[in-house]
Amino acid sequence: MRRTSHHLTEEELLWLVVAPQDCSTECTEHVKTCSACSEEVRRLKEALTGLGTAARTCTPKPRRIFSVPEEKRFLRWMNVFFQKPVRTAAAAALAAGFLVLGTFLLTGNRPPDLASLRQEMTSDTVLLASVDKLISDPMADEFEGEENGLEEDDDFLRFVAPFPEEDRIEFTNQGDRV
Amino acid sequence: MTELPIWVREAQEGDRRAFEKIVRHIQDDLFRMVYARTISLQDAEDLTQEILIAAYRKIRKLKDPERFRPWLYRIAINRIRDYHRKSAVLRLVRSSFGSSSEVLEPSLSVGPDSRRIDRREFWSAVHRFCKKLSRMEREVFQLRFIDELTFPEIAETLGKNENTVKTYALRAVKKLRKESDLLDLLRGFKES
Repeated sequence: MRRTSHHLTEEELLWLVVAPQDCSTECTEHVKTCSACSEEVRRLKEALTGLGTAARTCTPKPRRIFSVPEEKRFLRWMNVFFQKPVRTAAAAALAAGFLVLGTFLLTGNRPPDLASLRQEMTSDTVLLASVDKLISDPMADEFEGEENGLEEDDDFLRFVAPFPEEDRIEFTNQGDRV
Repeated sequence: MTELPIWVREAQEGDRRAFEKIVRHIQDDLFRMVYARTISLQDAEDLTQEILIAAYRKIRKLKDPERFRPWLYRIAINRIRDYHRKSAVLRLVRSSFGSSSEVLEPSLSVGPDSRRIDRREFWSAVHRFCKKLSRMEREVFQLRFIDELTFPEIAETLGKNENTVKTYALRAVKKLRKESDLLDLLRGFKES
């Protein structure tokens, strides 16, 4: 609504009612001198103040006394426990626990057992000794010595590596091999 | 009230008696705020109790004790919103079964003889008018002119800019100006 030459616009009037401190000095000064505008502002302010007063008057009294129930000791402790710093610390501890447990489960590591560790070391020593022996003497014991192994046999050697003159094959007339 | 922030601080440290002082100090305003939005004595009592318990449980989360009132009103607004949602569902169920159990508060004339006002008539007029407002206009109008909060408190309660809140209030008053029912009812009902 446009301001007429004599009066405030509706917007200016309403601002004077709702938030007079936000109005321009021009408006404030106008209301002081214009009876029509000041009457309208007064009427609206009165209605709004009356609204609050009427609401207070028209609200029945509550039939009970409001109170907060007393918390049980356990719940009070729980409240302390669930406060932010304690909650954060507990969450961190839980996370660390899960991390350690997870690592053990994934890698197969278990907490060290002394007896099994000692047994494992003994078997390692035995294994290393046998490896060393194998390097120095690769022939198995059962094949070493005449009494245990094969004896030198001339016939066998001649069979494996015959003399050159024995290596000829001759054919008879009948085609038989001699 | 200057002592309110001190009680809030003490209540935050676990002092239950300090919270009881807060309850005694704020219960009338809070109850009026809830009643204005429910128009049911029973529901307003239950909701006020729930809001106070919720505030007691959450009071440690309040960072600035000076802002207790807007903080409490925000809890209240959320609870009342939940209440209206549940009521809408219940109404739907009841209407589908053909029964209605809407409780109307008894009509009662209250106030000094010179300015008597019918309680039921007054709240009906307020509700009729509020239905013509948008949600934000209604919230701001009720908080400012029925619950009598300041604009900074309303801005804090609704999480809005103060100027935005003032604009909503202005729009609501503009509509009120055209609402002769409520204005007639309020005529002559001045602050004593």
